[in-house]
Amino acid sequence: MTIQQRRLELEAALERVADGNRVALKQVYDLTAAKLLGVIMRICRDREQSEDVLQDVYLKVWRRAGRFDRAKASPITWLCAIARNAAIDWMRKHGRNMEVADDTVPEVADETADAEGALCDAQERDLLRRCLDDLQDDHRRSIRLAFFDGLTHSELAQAIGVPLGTVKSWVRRGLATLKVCLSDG
Amino acid sequence: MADPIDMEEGDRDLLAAEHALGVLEGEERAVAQRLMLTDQDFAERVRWWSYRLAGMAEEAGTRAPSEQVWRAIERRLDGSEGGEVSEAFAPAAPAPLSAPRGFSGWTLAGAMAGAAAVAAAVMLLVGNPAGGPTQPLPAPVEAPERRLVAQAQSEDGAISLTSLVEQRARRISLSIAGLEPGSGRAPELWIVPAGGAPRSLGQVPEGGSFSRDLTDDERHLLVPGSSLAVTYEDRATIPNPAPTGDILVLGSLSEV
Repeated sequence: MTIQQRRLELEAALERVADGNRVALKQVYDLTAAKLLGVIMRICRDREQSEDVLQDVYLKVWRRAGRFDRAKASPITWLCAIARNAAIDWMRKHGRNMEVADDTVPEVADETADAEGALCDAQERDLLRRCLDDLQDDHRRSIRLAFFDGLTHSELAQAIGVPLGTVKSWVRRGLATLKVCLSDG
Repeated sequence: MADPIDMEEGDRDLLAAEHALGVLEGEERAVAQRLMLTDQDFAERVRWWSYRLAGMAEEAGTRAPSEQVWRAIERRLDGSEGGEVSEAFAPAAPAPLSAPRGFSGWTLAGAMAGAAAVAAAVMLLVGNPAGGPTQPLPAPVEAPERRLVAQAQSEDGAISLTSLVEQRARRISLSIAGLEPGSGRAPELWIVPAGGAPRSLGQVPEGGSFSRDLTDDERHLLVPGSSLAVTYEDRATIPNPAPTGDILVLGSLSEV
């Protein structure tokens, strides 16, 4: 199945979920659960906790599918955003399990990332990757760390070992550059 | 930080980007949460950023969930649809009359009194539209009660909210109509302090007149200039740390 076919299948399944179709929810789950668990585990680290968050995510999908707007996001982007927000909310409420080994976030995109399972719109993903690659190293690193680990400004400052003001300025300037790049296509 | 209204467009967009990325904390986070609720354009910007950034998630790799995850989801779906109810996912009571448990203490018990008080306060606020004699205020017995009223309507007029806060009695009364949250969702009432982060007052009934006691914390936030707002949220997660749904009605409190 091509990425485009998977995307269409996922869009169609989400539409049926909005109508309360549970078989369609299972289909969405089968297509995306491994990807969303990957996103959640980057933030929560612990598998058991992450699987609890994953349950919550699909219950949210069940209730919110009617609000999915394909004009604003691809289905997997919408799902990833829900998963990431749920993981961050969970972590800020319960604290991160620091005893779990911290696998370092790669500082640049991994070119070999699982193309077979890719669900994102290729064009959208390539644009984001290109725009991130164009950022200054410090800016890119801060944004990636914040994204993958769900860190706040002061947690970032601590993780990188620079003053708070510096990291805030890196994130801001990185996001400002990103905005121009993403808007210009 | 600068008042959000004075912020330049670029700054607003960057604040939206930072909020979507999740780096904000403290005062800045409070401002962003407040704007999410009161400023449609800002909320759209945050969504735009969160979808753009989510494209990075593709790199997080995949992890196969264990078999039990789907089974647990199915059990919880059964629970929410009327079968066995798990504690974490207990649906709120279907009718406020039978069990107000799901409504964070909102009850019908003082409803008649609450409704009458709201009506009286509204008369004071808007005058008498029929042009007849104005209802006299009940004479205060002890120190005068400090009463605040908020009134709001959705843009299409379909949803209306009137609320009366009695500071001394530590009581909030609410008349609400026109809410249709849909399956699995419920209306959540928010205090939006001027310049502060929204704070949940819990789930409210979809219509009728209700009242409940206020905690000290809540009472201190319910001052002139603060607003009351309603959003639809997932029934299972109320009270939420911050609103996620679009704002339906928003009315500021003023003293009567």
